[in-house]
Amino acid sequence: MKKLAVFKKNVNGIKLWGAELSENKHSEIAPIPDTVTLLMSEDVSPVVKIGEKVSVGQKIGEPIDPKKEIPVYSSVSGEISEISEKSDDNGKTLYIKILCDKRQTLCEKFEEPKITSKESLVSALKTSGIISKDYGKPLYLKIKRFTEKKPEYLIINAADFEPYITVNDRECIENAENIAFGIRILKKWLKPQRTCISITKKQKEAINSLVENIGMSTQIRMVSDNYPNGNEKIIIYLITGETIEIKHNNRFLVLDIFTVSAIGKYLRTGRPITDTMITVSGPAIKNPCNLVVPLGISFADAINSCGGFRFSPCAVVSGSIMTGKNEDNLEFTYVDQALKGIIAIDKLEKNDVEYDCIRCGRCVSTCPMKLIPPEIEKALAKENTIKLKSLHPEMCIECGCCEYICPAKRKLLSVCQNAKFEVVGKRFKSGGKN
Amino acid sequence: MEVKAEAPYMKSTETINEIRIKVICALIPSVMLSVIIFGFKPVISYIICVLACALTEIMLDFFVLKTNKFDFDSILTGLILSLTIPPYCPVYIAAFGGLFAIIIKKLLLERFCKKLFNVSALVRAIMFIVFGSLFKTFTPSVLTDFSSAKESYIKMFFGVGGGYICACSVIAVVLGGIILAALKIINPLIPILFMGSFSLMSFCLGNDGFSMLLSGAIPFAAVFMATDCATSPLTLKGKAVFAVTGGILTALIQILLPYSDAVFFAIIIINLLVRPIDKYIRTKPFGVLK
Ligand code: SF4
Ligand code: SF4
Repeated sequence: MKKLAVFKKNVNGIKLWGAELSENKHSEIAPIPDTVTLLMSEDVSPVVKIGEKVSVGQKIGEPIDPKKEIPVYSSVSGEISEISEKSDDNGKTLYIKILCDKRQTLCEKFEEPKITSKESLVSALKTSGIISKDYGKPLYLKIKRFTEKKPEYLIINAADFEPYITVNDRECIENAENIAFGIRILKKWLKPQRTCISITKKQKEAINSLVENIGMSTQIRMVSDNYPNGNEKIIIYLITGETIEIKHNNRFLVLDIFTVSAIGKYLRTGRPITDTMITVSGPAIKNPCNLVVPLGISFADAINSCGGFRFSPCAVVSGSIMTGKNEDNLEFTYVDQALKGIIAIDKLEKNDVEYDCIRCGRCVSTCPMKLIPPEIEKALAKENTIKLKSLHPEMCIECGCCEYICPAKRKLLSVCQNAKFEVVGKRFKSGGKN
Repeated sequence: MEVKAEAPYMKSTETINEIRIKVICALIPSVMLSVIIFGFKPVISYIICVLACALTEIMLDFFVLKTNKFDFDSILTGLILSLTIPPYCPVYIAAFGGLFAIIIKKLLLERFCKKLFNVSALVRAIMFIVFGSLFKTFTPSVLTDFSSAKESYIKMFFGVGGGYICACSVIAVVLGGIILAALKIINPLIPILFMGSFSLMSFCLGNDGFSMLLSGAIPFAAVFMATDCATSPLTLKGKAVFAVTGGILTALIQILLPYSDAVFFAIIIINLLVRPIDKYIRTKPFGVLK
């Protein structure tokens, strides 16, 4: 991999708002709902039956192929009431519904994992059931890449770059000991050459708390709070000044601080991860806050623990407001570990008329990947594959900045996604380089 | 497969019309100074020209194109156009210009060559060819003799010079440019490079580029015409090339044509270059390793 010369570490992006709604609020623990529903992929088989009593932290799903998946644990105590199956494009999904008895009795068999080598760290992370928040996949997959080779840099991202989301910030303030423990373990076994925490200037409280708990052993670096600086590629660039291809990245390990905290928590107690913190926010929420919820709680229950809606929302977006999905079935959408937040918005600027592109160049100067969305749009419309390839839409990180900024309200994000698919899809066919 | 996307759910509230209104606001200093200098005569030609543009647009939309896409673009075109004609010019010229501009824009440029040219520059150039001799009669004579004395520089800068309405005061144009740059509507790179390369080139040719810069329509064209987004390149690099070429061309054409009109022709020529520039001068996307 070649290195690129770096002159100035700065990436285009946009300033967004929304964090102020839940920024300085201590996290609240959501009341246990009547039922939770845990999801399992088809590679996990349930080890419980309908009617069986379960307790918090009890294993309810065991991976069929341990290489592929991680176990699933119950997040509440209660009784299994329903096991149903649903299939969609991504394969079959099992829904396990648990009626909660609201006593939250703990399963007794927690054992502190003993870490003696890198391999045992990976297998401990596998049994922990941690799914990383930034990556959306089991965490051990990410760590496993670094078992043979030491990472050059361990980057821990403590900032929230997504609008409205404040979970990383809260986690730094509230659970800094877990973070410190997690960092110590990661440093000890992965032996990164350098470790560094990225944070934005705004998070004064978080910085203090981190410095207090971690000490000066880990460098804390300020980055600008532009969206989408949380993207792995961008954050690697901002911290190290190097541009890499994420697919072949075995030099830089980037972790969310929330995930590091989860590692710390698991390794200290041996208790599998059964809850997570999400930000429930947005103009349509009565009481925006950071909420600690048991996994599998439905969106409707989570929103109700924040006082419900102020008025009926125009859209409820899961994850990130810039890239997330509009959920219309709140009762049947469930919180998982990868979820960062639920955002209810009051108005959509979506319905605006689409004008012709006025070639103002705003999208070009905003795109963090320095792409040219209007040219991509044109090439895609003309199905000019050669031109499309020369524009490199496969580099698009689908951040949505271009569409955000476009005064003509062009639907650039879906254009870029389609173009990316077009190029990447064809590449796979033509022999599979890259 | 179609990737279905509805995100982002957050969008900037800025719209195209807002941008145009902001540009119109940036023209206000020029308009006000022209009133101070020339009295109310130019105001009539502004009104006539803008009205001609707006009415033509509405008529065309209603009767010919059968669409309803009225926006501030035509008003802006009209205002810019009326600022580039001499102050004491008869109103029919202004009316003709406005009418012609919108017809060209709607029926020719938008349909056949995708807004290749800046409408006001194009129409202004045509008007120069048609009414060239008339223009000369109506131009106040202050401008026609270049007194190279130092104090006249200062005078020109603050707007005691003559010439076309837009050329009356550089300071108003500069102010407008600063407003636009501060609102992030234009990239200050274009006017700066345009004027810079122009003065350099005319210096090389042995002309007094600086006084032309202060007295001519060049700053106006550089700020309000060359930066017109539809007819300037998308990328920063492209914009730089575009502006420098424009400046140099202006200086060259100036040898052939009287002082201020060269710039409009230069802008038309560089407008032609926009597509090739966009095609060949590209920034490398972030993270493409080659
Ligand atoms: S921001 Fe929108 S209008 Fe401006 S150049 Fe990009 S696509 Fe065109
Ligand atoms: S969505 Fe893609 S093209 Fe648009 S700004 Fe983000 S990276 Fe650039």
